[in-house]
Amino acid sequence: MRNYIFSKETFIFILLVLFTFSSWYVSSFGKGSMTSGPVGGVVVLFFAFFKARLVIQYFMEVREAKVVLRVLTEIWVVLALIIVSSIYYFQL
Amino acid sequence: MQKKQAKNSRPLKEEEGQNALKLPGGEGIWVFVFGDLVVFSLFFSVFLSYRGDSLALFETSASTLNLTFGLVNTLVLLTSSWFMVCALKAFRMKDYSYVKRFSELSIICGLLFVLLKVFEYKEKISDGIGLTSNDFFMFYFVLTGIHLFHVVIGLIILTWLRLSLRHNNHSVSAPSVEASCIFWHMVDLLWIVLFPLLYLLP
Repeated sequence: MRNYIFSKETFIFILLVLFTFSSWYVSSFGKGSMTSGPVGGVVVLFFAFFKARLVIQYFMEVREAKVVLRVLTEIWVVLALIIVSSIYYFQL
Repeated sequence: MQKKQAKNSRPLKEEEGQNALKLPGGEGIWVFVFGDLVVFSLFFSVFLSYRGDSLALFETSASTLNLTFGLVNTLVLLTSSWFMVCALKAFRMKDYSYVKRFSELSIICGLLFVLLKVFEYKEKISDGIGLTSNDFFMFYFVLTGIHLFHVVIGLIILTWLRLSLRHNNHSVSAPSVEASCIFWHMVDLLWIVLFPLLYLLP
């Protein structure tokens, strides 16, 4: 049991939970601060795609997979973040 | 002849395992994952484009969503994903009793997600809000509905995996277990982006 619980993936899981609470906090209590408005939205989107990257790299084991898979997944994360954030921020 | 076949079968399985490390789950699951990621990226982009056009309507509608449901569902799916990571580890260590336990816990979390989603839909419908109420709720029901469909498919796959391991029958292959886990993680990943888009964006 210890082999499964005390692992790198458990640390990543805790990080994912902390990022979830951070996004929720920024969105719920960040009003009136620098993180409110469109900037806060971009921060929330950045957290979301960073979490998605952690899931891909560590849970889906892409970190240890073929280079082509690593490159393709990184391209998806970066492109999707840029496109989605731009549409949100510039209201395209 | 039979002896020769038996001799050949063992190294093949090991080879399969080595290949799995290079491309977990095999090529098929990754073609599916990339297809789904591209389609959902389009959904996210179209949603945000509509949001930009009717900002006030989307903000007012989003503020009526129950944030607690969204937050708890995110935590439930993350936990479910982590259980499947543990299940795959146990499978590789041939610790099948733990594979069963972790996959059961993952299924329970998945069912909890479905249950919470049903409660959330029920809450909205009882408030007179539906698919045709406005553009925001059209996106809300369609996007979360498509995601919920993925969750149900994932639950069927995990249940198949769990049932394959009953009666100490351990014939299920490593790439099948890996592909099942990858699909489940993709369901988690999609929700990780959907949650802030629908519930959190200021």
